[in-house]
Amino acid sequence: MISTNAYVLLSAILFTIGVVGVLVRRNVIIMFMSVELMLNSANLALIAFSRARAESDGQIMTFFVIAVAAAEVAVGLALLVSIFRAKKTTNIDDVNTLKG
Amino acid sequence: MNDLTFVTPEINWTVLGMPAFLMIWAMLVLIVDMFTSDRRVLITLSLIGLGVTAALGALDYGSTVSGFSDMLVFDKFGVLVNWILLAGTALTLLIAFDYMPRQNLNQGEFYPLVLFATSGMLFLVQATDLVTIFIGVETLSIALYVLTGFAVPQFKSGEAAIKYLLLGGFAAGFLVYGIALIYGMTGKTNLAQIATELSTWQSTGKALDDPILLAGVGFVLIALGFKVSMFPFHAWTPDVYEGAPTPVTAYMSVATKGAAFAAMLRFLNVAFPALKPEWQLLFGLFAAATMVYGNIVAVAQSNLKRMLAYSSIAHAGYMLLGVLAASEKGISAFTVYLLAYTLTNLGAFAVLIALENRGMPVFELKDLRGLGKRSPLLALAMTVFMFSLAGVPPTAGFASKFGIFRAAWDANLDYLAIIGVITSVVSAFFYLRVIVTMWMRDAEATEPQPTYATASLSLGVLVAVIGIVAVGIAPNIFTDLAKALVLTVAQ
Repeated sequence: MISTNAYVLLSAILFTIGVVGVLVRRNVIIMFMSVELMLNSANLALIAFSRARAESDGQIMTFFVIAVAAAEVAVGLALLVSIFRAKKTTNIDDVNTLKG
Repeated sequence: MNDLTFVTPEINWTVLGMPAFLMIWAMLVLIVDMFTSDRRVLITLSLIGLGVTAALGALDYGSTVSGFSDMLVFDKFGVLVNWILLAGTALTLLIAFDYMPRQNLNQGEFYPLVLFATSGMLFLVQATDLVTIFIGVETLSIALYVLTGFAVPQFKSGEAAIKYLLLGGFAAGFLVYGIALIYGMTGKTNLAQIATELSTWQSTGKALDDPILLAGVGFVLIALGFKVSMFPFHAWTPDVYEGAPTPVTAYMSVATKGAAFAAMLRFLNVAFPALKPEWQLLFGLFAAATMVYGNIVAVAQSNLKRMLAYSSIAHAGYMLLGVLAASEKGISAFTVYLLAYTLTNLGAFAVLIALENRGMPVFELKDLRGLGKRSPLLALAMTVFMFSLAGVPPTAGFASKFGIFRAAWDANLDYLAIIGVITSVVSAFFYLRVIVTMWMRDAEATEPQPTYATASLSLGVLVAVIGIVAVGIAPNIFTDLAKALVLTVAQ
């Protein structure tokens, strides 16, 4: 059996990859994917902790996270389509009419 | 074999009443929107919904009820903050009513979307579990992403929305991961149970400064700090506030902050009183940085919307003082401050809306020149709002700031109170500059710019001015009221 520590370590690595992805990559779609990776690494940690304690609380939380992530992506992709129509790009650096 | 029986969950309508009613009502408004394009019907329905929701809070006011396995609570603090949020939402709808069609944004979905966001905020204010805090934060955020991008043929609005969404999703990642870590260390998601768990750690001699637990608390606070635009998590604020339709900016700058601060207050005071010295120190630094940064950068702004964005960052710093004081005084000062700030900021944005032409979205300070002559009433209202933001007596801004600083001082956060007073003096510079520009500079444009002080907007401005003056003239009534009305949070 794989220990809880291993799962939590993996989730921490995935979370870090997600954070770095949002900060470093400039393509909006990849940035969305990185955000998803952050959320899903948290899911992994929740499930691992939940299993270690033989409770279901963490797993239930996971369902809420999945639902919210889906809603967020729906809004995000709709916005992305409208931006792509206007500028023909998915690069966040080309989307800079506001001065940051 | 065991019999599997389906147990219907017990629904406690006292606890869930306010957010649930508003959510269902918003869906009804959405359905009505399919059959009528008359926005007067929609705004009337929306205002009725807000009123009934407020009345639901009054129905059981005073009792403290927990429901849904203590995931939600109905208490005095929650209802009081909810009332302020509902009042802010109603004012937002009034000032948006004529603005949206003027900017060619006539889709009726605006009203239900605002109600959805408000419902999420009410839920967040009443949340006493990490799971419900997460759901509340995300319900309000997703509705706000859409509202920010509501003017989407305008490129700025879409850009603001996608920036807000990316950074909001980033913050949500931190929130969930923080919750996972706290759950992993304590085995609980309920705020009160986390506190109990930590006190057993203390009695068994287990160290509280477990790095994973601290990281979890820190991650959750980063996410909430993002929502209230606390320095250094404020970077999105000026862009999003500038790009979003002005009524949405006004709404975001007050309501989101109020709800997220209420959640932060519960999170810190209910779950982690054991770590109070740590978070008071850390957040004291953040609060100081927020006040200094917001006020100093606001001085350099010539765009009014951006100036108000930075000023709202600064005001988040002041409100943070009330949260940090973590005393009854601090919490009642926080509610009074939230009320005063809601009225003042919405009023200030309402004046901008009254001046905002179609196709002239840029809003520079010089556009206000000669306003005192063109429409003296509007200029007078703006003067009241600016005095209140700066904290000049006898306005609500002065009374509420005084309460906040006193609470911080009494809680031994004297260095924060001093920084607060100094930065308030700095802030007077750019607020008074607006007043000087309005009354003492003449307009350079030869043809007069039209103003759009329509009936609903004037009503909103009037309500705000009366509220500010009332709180300002008789602050004791309100502070005593808040003290008497609030507080069951602290236990």
